[in-house]
Amino acid sequence: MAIVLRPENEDRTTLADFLDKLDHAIDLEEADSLIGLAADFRALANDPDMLPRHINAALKRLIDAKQAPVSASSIELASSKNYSLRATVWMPAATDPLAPSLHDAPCVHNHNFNVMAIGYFGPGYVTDIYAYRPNPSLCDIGERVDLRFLERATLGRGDVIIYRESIDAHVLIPPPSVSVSMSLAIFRESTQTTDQYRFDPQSSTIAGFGETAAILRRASVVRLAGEIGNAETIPLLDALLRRSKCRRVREAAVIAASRLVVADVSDRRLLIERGSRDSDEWVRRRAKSLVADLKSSTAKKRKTS
Amino acid sequence: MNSLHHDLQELKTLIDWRLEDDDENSFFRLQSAFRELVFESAFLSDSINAQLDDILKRPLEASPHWMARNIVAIAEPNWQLHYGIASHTSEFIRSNISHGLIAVIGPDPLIVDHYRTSKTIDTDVYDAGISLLKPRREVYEPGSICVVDARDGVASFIVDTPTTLVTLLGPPRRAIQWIFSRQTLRAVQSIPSNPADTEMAIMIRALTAMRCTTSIATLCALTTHESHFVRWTALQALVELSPEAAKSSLQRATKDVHPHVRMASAKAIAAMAA
Repeated sequence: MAIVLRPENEDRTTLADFLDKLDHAIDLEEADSLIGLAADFRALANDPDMLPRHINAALKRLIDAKQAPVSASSIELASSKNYSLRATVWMPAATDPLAPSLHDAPCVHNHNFNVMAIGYFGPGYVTDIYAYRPNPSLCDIGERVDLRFLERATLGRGDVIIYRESIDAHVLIPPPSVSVSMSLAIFRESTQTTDQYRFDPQSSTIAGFGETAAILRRASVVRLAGEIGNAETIPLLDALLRRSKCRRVREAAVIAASRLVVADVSDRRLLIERGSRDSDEWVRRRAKSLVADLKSSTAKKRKTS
Repeated sequence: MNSLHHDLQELKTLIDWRLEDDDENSFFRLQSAFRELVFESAFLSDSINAQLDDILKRPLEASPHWMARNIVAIAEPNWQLHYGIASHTSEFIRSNISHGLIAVIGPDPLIVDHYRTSKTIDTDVYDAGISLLKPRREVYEPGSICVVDARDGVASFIVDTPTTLVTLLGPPRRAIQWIFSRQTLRAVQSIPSNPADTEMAIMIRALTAMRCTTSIATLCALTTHESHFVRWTALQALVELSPEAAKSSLQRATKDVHPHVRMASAKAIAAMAA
């Protein structure tokens, strides 16, 4: 389950010193290595002037740039290929134009990376924490998964919660008043190829995919090729099916081939049939069903002609 | 990252030139050039093939142009062009922030409900009493272009089966976007149409909550910001953090162009005096 900590540390540290420690102390493959950094994270959060200084600077940048920031209500403090340290402002739920929008109802989700959060200011958000046991063959919307509610926690000032990649799911409930937290996300190669899910806790099913996850976006691009590609798209899809290590990309290549009506039907069929021999059960299943669809539509066409 | 496709580069030159003009109708004069790009050039297939090639060459790099269901081909401060799959009907009906040209690629047609409003919403002043009137439904077949005039009611897409669209959007016209209930057709909320305005207002709220008095100069500068959301949030912050510094800004705000800012600043002055 997610690791909830209340590190005792009254010291203060600077952002530069914290990042230096981060570069030396973190094992990217090990979520538990974040535990060793929790006291330092607390020391960073103990400086009451640090975030106001950054927010003020971010505001000035927005005034000067006159362009939209990268992500809503979140300020980047530092980032590298392997991590991102951000501050997030949490608005209370209220009839306020700045409160979370009506259409963005809180949902249970997991992350495709390890992340450590700390309460910096205010009462903090409340979070219901769930344990999720990933099953590679259960990965589509509506499929029933192993999701269990564990506990409700609050990210109060100085509290730390470590959400581990994939297996910790949670839902964020807006705080009673304005709150600010910091989060340190750790990225590794698998972040690019791991799903992020949204869950329906009532039915313990997959309700959707995390829309910011690179894997979803990359697979969407491949899927879109089936709608707007041309004959030259087939060899590219074929290469993706052969070479991509990401099963979502391979699955999308198979679906795109099935939709690409401007390409030669035998080329498409060959590609989809290759998908039915994929190393991943999920891709095989999808490809087999598409081969069956293709056969029945060809048979129908023959009948009508 | 892929360079700009030559056909899109040509359209960009034309759009930049057209949008220099103050005449709002200039945007709609782009329709034939847009149609040519989408339906008569190799732009779409070339672009998607270039994206696939990129994925093959850099399998672990994600492009900032990829969204959840579409690709942003180009995003300029004043306009943007994106293409992708429309997959569902939104729960709420949102007003159109900008004029738009939407090319339907298919395979299915695009169904659009065109609503008129009980009073004009082509304004930055939100009014919860406004509602949408019964819509006129139009079906746009693949190969056609749906023209959205943001001055004229609200166009809402109904997606029963996913279909591919290419969308050209003009500059945002208003500071707010109206949100209506699909069930009751009544206005339920307004939000800043520019995400940067929301962002600024949220940051101001955070600075206020943290009692950050070192930000007074920034807040004073924001009381003349072009968005009334930001102006009013900055004024509220000044009242909280430095009532003395707020006085002259509040006084000026009683003559603000936005009625909600005028009204709220007059109330704040009265409350401070009491």
